Amino acid sequence: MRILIAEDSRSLLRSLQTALRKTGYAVDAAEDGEAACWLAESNPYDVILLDLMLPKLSGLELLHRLRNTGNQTPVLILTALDAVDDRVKGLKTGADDYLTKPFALEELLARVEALLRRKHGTRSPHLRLGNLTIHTASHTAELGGRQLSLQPREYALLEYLTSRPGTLVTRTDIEAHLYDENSEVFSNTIDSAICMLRKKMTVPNQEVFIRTRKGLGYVLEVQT
Amino acid sequence: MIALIMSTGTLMILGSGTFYILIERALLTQFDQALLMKTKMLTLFPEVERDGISLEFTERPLPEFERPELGEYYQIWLHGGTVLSKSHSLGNASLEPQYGTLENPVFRNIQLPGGRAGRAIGVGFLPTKEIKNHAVTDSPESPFAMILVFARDRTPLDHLLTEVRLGIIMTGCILLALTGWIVNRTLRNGLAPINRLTQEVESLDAHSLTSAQITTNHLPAEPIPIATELTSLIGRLNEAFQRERRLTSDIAHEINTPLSELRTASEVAMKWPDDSEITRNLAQQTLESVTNLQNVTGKLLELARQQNALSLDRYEVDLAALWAETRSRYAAKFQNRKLVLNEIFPAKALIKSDSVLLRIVLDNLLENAMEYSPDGAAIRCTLSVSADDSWRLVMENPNTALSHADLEHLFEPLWRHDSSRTSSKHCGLGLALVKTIAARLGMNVYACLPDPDTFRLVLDSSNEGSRTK
Repeated sequence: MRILIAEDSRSLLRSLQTALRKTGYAVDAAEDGEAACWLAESNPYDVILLDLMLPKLSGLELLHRLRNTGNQTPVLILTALDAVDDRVKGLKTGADDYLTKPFALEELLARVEALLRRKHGTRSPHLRLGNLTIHTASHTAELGGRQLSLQPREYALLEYLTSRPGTLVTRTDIEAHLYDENSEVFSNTIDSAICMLRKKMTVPNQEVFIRTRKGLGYVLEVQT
Repeated sequence: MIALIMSTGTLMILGSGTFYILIERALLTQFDQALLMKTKMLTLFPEVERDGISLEFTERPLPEFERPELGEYYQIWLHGGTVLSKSHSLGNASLEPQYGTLENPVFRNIQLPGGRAGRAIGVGFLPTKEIKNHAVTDSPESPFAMILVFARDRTPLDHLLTEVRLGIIMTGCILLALTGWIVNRTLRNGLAPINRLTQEVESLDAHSLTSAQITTNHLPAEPIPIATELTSLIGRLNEAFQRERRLTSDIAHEINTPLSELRTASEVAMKWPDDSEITRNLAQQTLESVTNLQNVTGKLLELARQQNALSLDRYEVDLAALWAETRSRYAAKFQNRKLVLNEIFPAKALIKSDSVLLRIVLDNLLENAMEYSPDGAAIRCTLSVSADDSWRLVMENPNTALSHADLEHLFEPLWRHDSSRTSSKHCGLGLALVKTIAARLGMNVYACLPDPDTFRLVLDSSNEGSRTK
């Protein structure tokens, strides 16, 4: 899952980037409103974390612009403005959630999870496919009753595929949603990641498999 | 209203009492005049004759003296005390021989036979002289001098007075009740606009001040100036509230941002304790955030201290030396950013002021000029001292962003040209502090844009400098 953070405090931005990357998200960052707008219009983000008081283009103006152009990416506002009026204004402009600074990191991560679930039309913190279970809250996965030992990026890949069962997922889709602008994506990066994931999914009684559609992409399927 | 009715009631009681007394006196005087007239008539009856004194009316008795129920009485004495005659109406009773003259008779209230109240008049007089050769003198010592006491039943008078009294009391009560009702109604009608005004003012609070305006269309002419002044006061209060809200919000933002940075950095480090890079960054981030926090809180505290401080330590200060000391503290920063400082300063500038406060002012002015100048820019500082010991310090630096509209907010606490408040180095308190201290020192500070590319700050020790350019 790919997240955009628009935050002008460099220190906070650095911490949030670290935390979200460590959790397994691809993260892009912008320190002003114009850069954030450009990134949001150029990439398919799953969630945008938006500070309201941004230089060059305020958070509310950015949000307004995004919604006017039909961008439906869930937006979580992060701001020091805690007055009811500010919150109402933010939510009415099209934000999906609002978090006042200073906030607890766990709460932020939980809200991001919730927004992602909402985006993908599920309410449960568990994704199930055959005997594969993904726990989105703890970022863990079980297959055939066994816990899979996954790196954050591998977990993100599996979660992304599981959220689209039986659907062809192209390499471009995977790149766009799982790798941020700072990631070096070589021609075989995706194949290597898929290969590593397949290996880790090789367990007794495996019912879920990643199939390759040559030249097209990958499909996650159940085979009993 | 009760006080008004009480006052009206008291005045009515006093007025009614006076009115009653006047009526009582007039009726009594009229009664006494009637008594006197009758007495004078009675004194004409006795005559001195050869064979003694003749009382004409004893021979032809007057009917009003015959029966007690007719209510008139008389008794005549000779000067020696011998009763010469008395009315049949007295029966066995007697009247008291208290008397005066016909010109100055004695009137008194008495009890008549049968216990009724009466009023009597007593006069001494000489009877009519009938015989020329009879030795009748005009002297009161004359053997023919007489005393006449005439009395009349005053019950009708008392009844009349009682009716008058009752009439006055009843009229008074009715008038008092009417007055109360009229006063109540008039006051209620008269005070209705004031009550509506009071309700309007009562309904105001800090949240409803924004668009509040006292309506004057239902008010009579007299309270309209009050309503207008109230609207003006509400406007001023609203501005003050807005300023306070803005300040509170800015303070919250200035404090929340570093707190948020600290909290998130700490939580990240706690969540991934084995990541050495995160741990390394935490120390650096903590130091940056704490420094920012310290900067904000330190300046806020200094501002509060200066706003509430009372005493000043004024003594002779060399402003040129103080400036040189300030400049030397910033020399390294000037060098790092290749800034040029052009100074026009006298060799010595002795003034009477508080050197500690002046140092804070100079620090903030120079820091402000440096921070908002691009690298390599020239900052110009000029000090001029007049013959009357007043002085003027002018700081000029390149203007990169300010407009004329910004100048009026420049000295507001925590105001920033950048509404996103991104910079962590500045919190917008430096110039507010300068303004507060300048006011304490009796100086003026103002900003202007002599041309669009130059920003000028002027610190003026003379009061003539109070202007906003």
